[in-house]
Amino acid sequence: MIGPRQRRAKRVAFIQQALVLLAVGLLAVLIARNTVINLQARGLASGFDFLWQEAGFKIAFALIPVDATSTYGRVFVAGLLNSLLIAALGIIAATLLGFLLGIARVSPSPPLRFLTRGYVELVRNLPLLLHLLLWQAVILRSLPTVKDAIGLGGIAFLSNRGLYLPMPLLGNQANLLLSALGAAAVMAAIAWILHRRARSHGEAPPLLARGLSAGSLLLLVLVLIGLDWQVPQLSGFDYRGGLKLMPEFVSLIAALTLYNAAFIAEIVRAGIQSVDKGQREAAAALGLSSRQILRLVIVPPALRVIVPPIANQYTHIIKASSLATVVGFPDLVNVFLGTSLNQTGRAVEIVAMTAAVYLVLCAAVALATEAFNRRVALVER
Amino acid sequence: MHAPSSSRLTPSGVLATARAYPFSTFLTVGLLYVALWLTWRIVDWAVIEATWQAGDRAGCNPEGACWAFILNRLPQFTFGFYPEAERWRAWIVLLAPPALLLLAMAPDFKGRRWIIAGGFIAYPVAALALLSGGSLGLSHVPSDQWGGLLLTMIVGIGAFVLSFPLAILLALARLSKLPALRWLTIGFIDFWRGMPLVAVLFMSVIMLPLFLPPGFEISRPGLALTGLTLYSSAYLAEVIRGGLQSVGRGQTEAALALSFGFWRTQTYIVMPQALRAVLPGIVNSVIALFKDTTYVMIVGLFDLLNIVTAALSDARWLGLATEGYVFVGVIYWLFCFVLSHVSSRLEAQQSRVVRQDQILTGSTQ
Amino acid sequence: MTAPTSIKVRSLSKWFGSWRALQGVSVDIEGGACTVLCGPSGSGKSTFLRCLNGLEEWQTGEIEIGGIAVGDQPRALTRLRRDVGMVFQSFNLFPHLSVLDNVTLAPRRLLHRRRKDAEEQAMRLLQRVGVARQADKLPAGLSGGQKQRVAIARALAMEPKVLLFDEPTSALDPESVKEVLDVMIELAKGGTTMVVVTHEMGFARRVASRVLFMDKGRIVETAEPEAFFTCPCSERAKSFLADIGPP
Ligand SMILES: Nc1ncnc2c1ncn2[C@@H]1O[C@H](COP(=O)(O)OP(=O)(O)O)[C@@H](O)[C@H]1O
Ligand SMILES: [Mg+2]
Repeated sequence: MIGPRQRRAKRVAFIQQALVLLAVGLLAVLIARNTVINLQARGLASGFDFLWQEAGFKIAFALIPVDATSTYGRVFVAGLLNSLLIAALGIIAATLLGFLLGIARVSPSPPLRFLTRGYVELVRNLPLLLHLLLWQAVILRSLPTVKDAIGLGGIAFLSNRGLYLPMPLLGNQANLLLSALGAAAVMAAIAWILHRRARSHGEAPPLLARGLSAGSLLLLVLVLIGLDWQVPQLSGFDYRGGLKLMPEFVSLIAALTLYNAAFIAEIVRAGIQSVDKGQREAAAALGLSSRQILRLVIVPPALRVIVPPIANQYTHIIKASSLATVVGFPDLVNVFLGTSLNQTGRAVEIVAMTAAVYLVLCAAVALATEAFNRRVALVER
Repeated sequence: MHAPSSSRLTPSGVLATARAYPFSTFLTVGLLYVALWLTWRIVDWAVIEATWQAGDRAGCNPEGACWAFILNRLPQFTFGFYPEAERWRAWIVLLAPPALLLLAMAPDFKGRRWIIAGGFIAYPVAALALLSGGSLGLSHVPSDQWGGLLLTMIVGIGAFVLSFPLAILLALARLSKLPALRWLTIGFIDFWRGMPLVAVLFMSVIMLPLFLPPGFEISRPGLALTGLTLYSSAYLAEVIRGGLQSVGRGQTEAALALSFGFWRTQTYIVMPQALRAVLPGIVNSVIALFKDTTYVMIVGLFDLLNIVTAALSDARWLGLATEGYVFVGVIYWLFCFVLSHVSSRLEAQQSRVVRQDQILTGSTQ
Repeated sequence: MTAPTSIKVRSLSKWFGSWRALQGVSVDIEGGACTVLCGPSGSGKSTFLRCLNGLEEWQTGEIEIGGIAVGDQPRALTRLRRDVGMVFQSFNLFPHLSVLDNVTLAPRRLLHRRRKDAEEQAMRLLQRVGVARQADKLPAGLSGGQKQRVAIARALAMEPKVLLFDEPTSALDPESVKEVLDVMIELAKGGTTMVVVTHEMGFARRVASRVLFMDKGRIVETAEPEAFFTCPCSERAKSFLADIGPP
């Protein structure tokens, strides 16, 4: 129901909002005008046509073929992929280490608790950039030269030029590999469905399910062994073959992982401790085994507490991947917001594209978290 | 997770435990050994074998830390290239905040309100005037000569002092009844929170000069400060919004019924409670901001971290990265560690107050 | 002394979405007297009371307090609220301020009284409601009855011409109820216009000049307390009185 007072209030609100929009609009126009004038004064062109122009610079590490004749568009994609690679590796490694540390933080062993606590306090109170420079300078500079590289089981090598890893040579085996992977995936999926059905009926999973999961695992192992692995070989002044990771890349991943793992550890610890001790004891009194208690009583509510802040931390890692710029690893910010902008002068376009990338990535994490929260809320009811 | 029972502490208890849990005992002993070994290595390097006075790298014991490098460069690490004769000005600027803070924390100090107001309004202006000079008979010191810890403090304190009022306005607008204002604010906040600080600083150096009217210029530290301020105000705004939402509607209604208007209600009733409620979060934001000041290196400013990094390539002191970064690390670590303890103390205190309140009132309010 | 402030309400209607909480309420509330408003829970008493000082927006109808219309212009509304104090069921004391500061805040910030004057006045008021010894405590350290008496002192500090009470004793234990009611009885003798939502029928009987009975968003009965309690006219009032027991 709307009375005369509500109509008046609506009118007032409308005018107020119009004024707000007008003020913001005026500011935007002013900024746009200044930008146009400034760009002209500096003789800078505008438009997105540069994306199809030759960039003329090389990229030290790329997941797609890029050379000096590639376009800026291709440079953009290469930088984006590098950023995503750093973020993905950082997220995976920091999560693994963070969970280990977080569980150790609440372990029954006092020295373990003490050491992990010391680690967390030491690491998270230092700037990430300091971690990065420290890794870059101290650790990698103090590593041996290529000639005296540290062998890791004879298949991987660590030197001050970077980390050399074995890499499978795909080529003629690609089809075989893909079909084996597909078969493993199908088997795993069927096993998972059987598992779930059995569990929802309160029965033990059928033998077939176990067989299938074991089979898919076996297949994976076979594929991994059967691949044509190329182990890096020392030839001349450098290792040939395999995958060579630049020292910048290694120190970046190390810094991102070690720094964010400390934060994730604290999140995990808080999550575990948020599960009421009474609940655990009640479950034990019901005669549940300690594995069942972990799976049914501790993990679900702890995850509810853990996931939102961890998602936040993932956003942080995605954004921090841009620190690659500082050590000179060619991520998106480095090659696009840095070199490409310098060469083309298309400030507005390049800044907008870079901003859009990060906003989309952060929005994706936020949406995923939202979906998780909704699912958890549903389960709770 | 389990409190150790007292029997475990007796010698026979320890032995019994060791026999019952061989793996965890092995782990414990191993870890203790690692911890002790690490401690010994660090003490040996940093103290026992360390060299405190030397003219160059060659004068240092290679087995230990070469602190002579840090001591030699200390004035530069502290003040950057600020002229030696004028450093008393920098001293005042550096020492004023802790002095003000101590004064404000003194119990029963009546002028606290004035200190806070002065800290947020008078200090930045006065500090800027004093450092840059050019008036009152002070010689002008251009901002590209500011550096080291001084610059870190300027950027950190400046960004906080500027972003705090901005964050309050953003938080209020974020909760406004006007959808247009609300959505604009959400857009603004989410934009800055979604941007990497590296990109923010790049942008502020590239874009801000383009946005300004022709002929209008801001110095590089000013540009970086602007970017950092906008960035941290978005985070602070979300913290403060949480505080605002934690203040019950009854408080606003009581204030309105007493005939407070909107702004006075916010100033005297809502904000004090909201800020108090999220003080731990604000302190955590300060920690994050302080660590983030290191990013100004990206736009070529010589803050503490960058000036030390630059000094590492001095030919007389080559290869002393560990010493340099340990020095920077100790400064950052002390600051952040102390603040994070303040933050968790505040948090514990608050949850205690809330519990007491519930007991005393039978949780009627 | 100026003439006591009366309240005039004409066909007041209020909707929450499509739910009509007040259905054209018209009533004249006598100045300088205590009017008690009662009725079953959900009948719209609080909503009605909150319309009187504009805390609640309504759709149609008019309210006049002391001959001045309760408008919807923020500034005029703020001005009007200076003369209309309100006491809430849940006290709504400001937890970050001491008892004394709770009372002095509005006079100091809105009437620009000097601190010393405001504190003297506040101490007089706290004395009057019997919590002067608690002046330096935080609200969290008070009992419920003390909190509500501080809330009354806080409202009185603005020297309002009208005082609104929304179930001031419902959240209290029996002993505290008496403390608060005693203060209110004293107030009623002082000649301020009071509108009190309460189920304390003993209080109504002793000090009310009139009792308004509300049901389903309407005032269905208006009577002298004695008449209301001895022989309520409407069936609804009868069963209501039977439910809450004898005064
Ligand atoms: N903010 C609100 N939104 C929706 N409905 C409300 C709101 N406040 C009150 N109501 C409804 O209006 C009716 C009257 O409420 P109220 O005035 O609080 O009753 P009383 O004080 O007599 O118990 C109730 O049915 C209540 O559910
Ligand atoms: Mg009510």
